[in-house]
Amino acid sequence: MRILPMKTNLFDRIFIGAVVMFGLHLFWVRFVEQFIPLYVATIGSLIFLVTLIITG
Amino acid sequence: MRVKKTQVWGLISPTLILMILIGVIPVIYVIYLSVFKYSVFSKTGMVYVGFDNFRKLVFDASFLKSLSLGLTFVAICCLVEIPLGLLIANVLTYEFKGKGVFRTIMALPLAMAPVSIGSMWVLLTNPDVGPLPYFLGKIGVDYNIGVNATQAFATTVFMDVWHWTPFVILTFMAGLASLPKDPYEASLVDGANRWQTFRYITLPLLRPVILTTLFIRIMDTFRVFDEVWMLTSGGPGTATRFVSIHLVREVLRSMNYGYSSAMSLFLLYLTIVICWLLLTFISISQEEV
Repeated sequence: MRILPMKTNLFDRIFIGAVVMFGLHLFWVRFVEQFIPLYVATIGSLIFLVTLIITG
Repeated sequence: MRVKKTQVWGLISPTLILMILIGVIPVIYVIYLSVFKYSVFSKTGMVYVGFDNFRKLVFDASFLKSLSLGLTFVAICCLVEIPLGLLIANVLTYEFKGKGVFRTIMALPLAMAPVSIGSMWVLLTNPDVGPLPYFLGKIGVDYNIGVNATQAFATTVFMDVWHWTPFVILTFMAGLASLPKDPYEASLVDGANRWQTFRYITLPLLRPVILTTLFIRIMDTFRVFDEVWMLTSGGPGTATRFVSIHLVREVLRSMNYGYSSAMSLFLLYLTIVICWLLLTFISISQEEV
């Protein structure tokens, strides 16, 4: 099962993963960090990155 | 003719090395700096702070204000420049007396350096000697960009529109010239009027060109610096302190390179996301055409 709706190569997936990862971290420190620590976002986004690279 | 792989690498390696030296390494250095507290005047030198610079950034009210101001500036400039450019480019497809002269004069602002344009507008808007305050004063408008924040912002928008609309016109003219003739002939046979031809033929065919121009203008307007710096330096107060001006002032004032690097990275991130979304739209619209 694919996550992205379009056809992508490995570089696209790493790029999209990195963009999402950075965005999620910024969002987390701005709105969520006071309730849940940042490493949760780091682990979550790393899992997302790996899944994205594998499934596309 | 078969070309060996080593030959290919040999040919592209000078460009590749140059790109790595002037493009990749500075970005990596900025990423590296963004996780340090680093002031050139500090006795402690570089202190590792992890994500703290970004933590400070997302709560920095002055940065967020300059960011929203910058995005407003981008939105207004693009909303004015693209339709205006399209309109003038369309008018220039018709033959009329003085078209060549108009085209030459229209392209003049493009040939000028942004710093010169800023200086020119400083003279134009000077309350003592500038023609703009003088003529506006004649119709009862008290024009002073050193005091009035709204006027200062509007002037920066007007200056950008004046400077960059010719570029939009030129790209649209090139786009219009490359459109196929058959659909226009068919519309003529079907009895379509000018508006219908423009709305149902020109606009859909020109969509990739419009999106590409929009893409270039968004990137350019977002990092506008020279003209605005020359004209207002971000003032009065923070009325025209767009994000690039805020960044430079921050670097010059605090010399905190770590925090400034985090700011630059955030801007790079925003530009990348906006451009990536636009590029996706462009490729989808090109597939449709």
